[in-house]
Amino acid sequence: MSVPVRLWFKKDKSAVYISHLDVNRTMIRVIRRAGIPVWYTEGFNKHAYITFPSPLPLFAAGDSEPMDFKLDGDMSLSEIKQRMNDACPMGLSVVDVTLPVLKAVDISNAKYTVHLLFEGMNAKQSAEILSRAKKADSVVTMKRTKKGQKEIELKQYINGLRIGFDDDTAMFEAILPCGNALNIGPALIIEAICQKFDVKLGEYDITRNLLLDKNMKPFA
Amino acid sequence: MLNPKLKKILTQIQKPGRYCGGELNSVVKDKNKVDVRFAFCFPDTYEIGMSHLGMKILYSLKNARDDVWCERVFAPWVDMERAMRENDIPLYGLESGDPIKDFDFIGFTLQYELSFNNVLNMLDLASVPVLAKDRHSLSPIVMMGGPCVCNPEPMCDFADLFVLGEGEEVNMELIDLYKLHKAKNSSKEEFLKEAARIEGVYVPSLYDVEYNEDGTINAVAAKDGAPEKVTKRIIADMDKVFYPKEFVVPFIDIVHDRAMEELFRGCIRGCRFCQAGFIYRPVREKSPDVIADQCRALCQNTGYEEISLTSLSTSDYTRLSELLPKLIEWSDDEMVSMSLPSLRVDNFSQELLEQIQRIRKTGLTFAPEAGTQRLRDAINKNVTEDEIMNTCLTAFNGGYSSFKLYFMMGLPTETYDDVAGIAELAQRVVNLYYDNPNKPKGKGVAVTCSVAVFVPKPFTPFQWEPQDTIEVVKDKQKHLVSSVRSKKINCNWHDAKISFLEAVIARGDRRVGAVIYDAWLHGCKFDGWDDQFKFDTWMESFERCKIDPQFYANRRRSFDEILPWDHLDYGIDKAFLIREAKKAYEAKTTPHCRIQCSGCGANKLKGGRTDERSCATLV
Repeated sequence: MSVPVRLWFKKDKSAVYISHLDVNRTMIRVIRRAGIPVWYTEGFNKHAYITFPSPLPLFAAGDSEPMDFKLDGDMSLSEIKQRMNDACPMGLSVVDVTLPVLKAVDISNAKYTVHLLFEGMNAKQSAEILSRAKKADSVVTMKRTKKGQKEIELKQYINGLRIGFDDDTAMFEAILPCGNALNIGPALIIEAICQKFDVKLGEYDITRNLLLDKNMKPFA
Repeated sequence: MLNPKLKKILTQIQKPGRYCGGELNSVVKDKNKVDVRFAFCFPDTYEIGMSHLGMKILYSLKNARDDVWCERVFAPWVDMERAMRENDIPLYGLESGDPIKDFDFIGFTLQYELSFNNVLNMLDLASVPVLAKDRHSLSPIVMMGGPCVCNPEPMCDFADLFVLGEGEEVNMELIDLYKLHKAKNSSKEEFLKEAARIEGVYVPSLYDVEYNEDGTINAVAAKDGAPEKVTKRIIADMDKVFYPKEFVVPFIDIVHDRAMEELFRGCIRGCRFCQAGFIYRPVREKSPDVIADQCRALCQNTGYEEISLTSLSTSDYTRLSELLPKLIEWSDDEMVSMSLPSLRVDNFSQELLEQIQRIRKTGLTFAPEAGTQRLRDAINKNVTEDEIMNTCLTAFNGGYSSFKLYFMMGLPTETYDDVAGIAELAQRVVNLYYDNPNKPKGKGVAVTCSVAVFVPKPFTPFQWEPQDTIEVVKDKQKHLVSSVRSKKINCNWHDAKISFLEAVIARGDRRVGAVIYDAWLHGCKFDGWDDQFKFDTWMESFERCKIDPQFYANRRRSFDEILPWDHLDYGIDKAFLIREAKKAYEAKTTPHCRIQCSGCGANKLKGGRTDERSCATLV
């Protein structure tokens, strides 16, 4: 009798430079190294069956990303966490192992933190640009959809926006739509800001902190 | 660990996962606690280098020593190289992020002649002088090993030393010697003089080459106590030699993304075109228990779900029927699939097919190499038409309906009828499929003929042969295409120009080094990649250096010519090679080592006499 399990992992450092497919492949091997009794697909080419409710894009770090699988044997959740952590490469680590509460389709939003500097600007100046974007009536961009390109206004989708800066970098936090119905990533927002204010992006990093359901409660 | 300047660059180039390190099982040490830092450089991209077994073995071997830290370095792709140069980021070790110019050793593995330019480019990118004579301090020592160093002469201007043969022991000896010299603050010359006395180490600066009027070599003379002939190193006991218990597991997709286990080194067959079969002799096998244990350890420590059993001719492993059941039991339980490449047509049995099929049905590939029996006999590929057809039939009955067949064109004694023979053979395979009453309904057959251009290589019986000129090759390729009469047969082949350049470098002497240098200066690199190869630039370099490439590729050499690699000993007697070369022209075959010893001389390396019974049976 296999039990659904949800594993939450952190992705940062070197792992930021690998794609979702790479994470998928890497996790399968971590599971094998860790000796977790995961349910395998049947058929000619058996492999460990794992799914990701919400894949992370390339270059994004993640604080608590879910990965689902079915446990096909006896092992406690804390033992799974320990073994997986012992077997993880640099840049990937297991934060928690739980029993899933919601379904993958319940994911509707996500909270992100972005650090950035615009080219030729210091932290304070970069934060200025972000504030101007916050005050603006609208920020538009072209988004690729199944039917081609469509112009969309982004500000309506941004919630909980906070802007700040320190000596090294400007930053903003925001809650954005995330999921099957609509997906707006911070990269799109940044691109739109660069276009609107005619600036170029210098250094940046994006971290997805949390996934949320449609009521803005943490996805569990 | 990563240079902060890199962070921005990595978001702007293709496949950043190539350059960031941090992979599972990569070895990170404290640089202040080691005595020797080694940069193992693979002169091609990450995806290719990470598939190379030799690098994995030597990486683990060196890092098993507390006093050594070995890091991996791969050739950055053109976009990354541009960004690195623009941002003043010198070539770095993946594990530490430190510039390799400060390391003790910079080692390259020469796997393929068209990667030689990348060696120069990587040295330059590392801010290390490309020419050996411009490097004056003891470190970094630039060393090179791998199969191509059986004729390393074109690289003599760039390397401080070459390691001939198998590296597991000699690398350790070199490191130990270096440590002594580093402690005494020796000069590079003092170190190299002593290094030349280690068996298997070839120091090019201690040899002078004189040429005749006609461009051939007059003499190669050793000086300063260096040996007249340098003999390659072999590992005597394959069971006791170091083998890694884990491999670095890449994050990104690479060419061969699986665990690898070596079954044996060398080859008994003696196909006359094949350099690998000769330069890795004598044959030495691992025992089944050792293989099974190593496979288990590797998969456990890497999490790989596939393991490849590698050798030059896997179905020739004498204890395959003992090994496979051991592995199959384990692989079924652990859900590891096994791949068995390099199978021969003439001992491909029903039983073997069943074993392979158990796990995953991959494509089947065989190498008849030539389309007619006469030519197969001339090149000593001891495979008959009946064996080919029987194998295909066995495969058809096993449910396979697509094959790849490897051939070459431009082989010595080849006629246009032989070329057409390739298409005719493929046609007979197709006909066999349709004549088979057991064939699956509704499924057609697909035969792919992959036809390479023959490149004569050192230490083979064909090392005196001229390569077909580019024009002749193109004409033969046209003839092949026009001989194909069925849509079920698909032919593909290599670019004649790339093969021509490969032929020049493979049998080049030291003067070719000037051309390699000039071509690199003018932008040639990644020559093995179709979209990067600049043939015209190479030809201009040949002209500027006043070197005729056809002298190396298309000239028939005489048996008494001094060849650029004659002062290197790979255990194969020249007299044997000459006998074989003559037999080729009589289309006479030579039986393989287990049927009868043909006296190639390799058993001398195991301490035997040339007239003793076949060393291939002294397992």
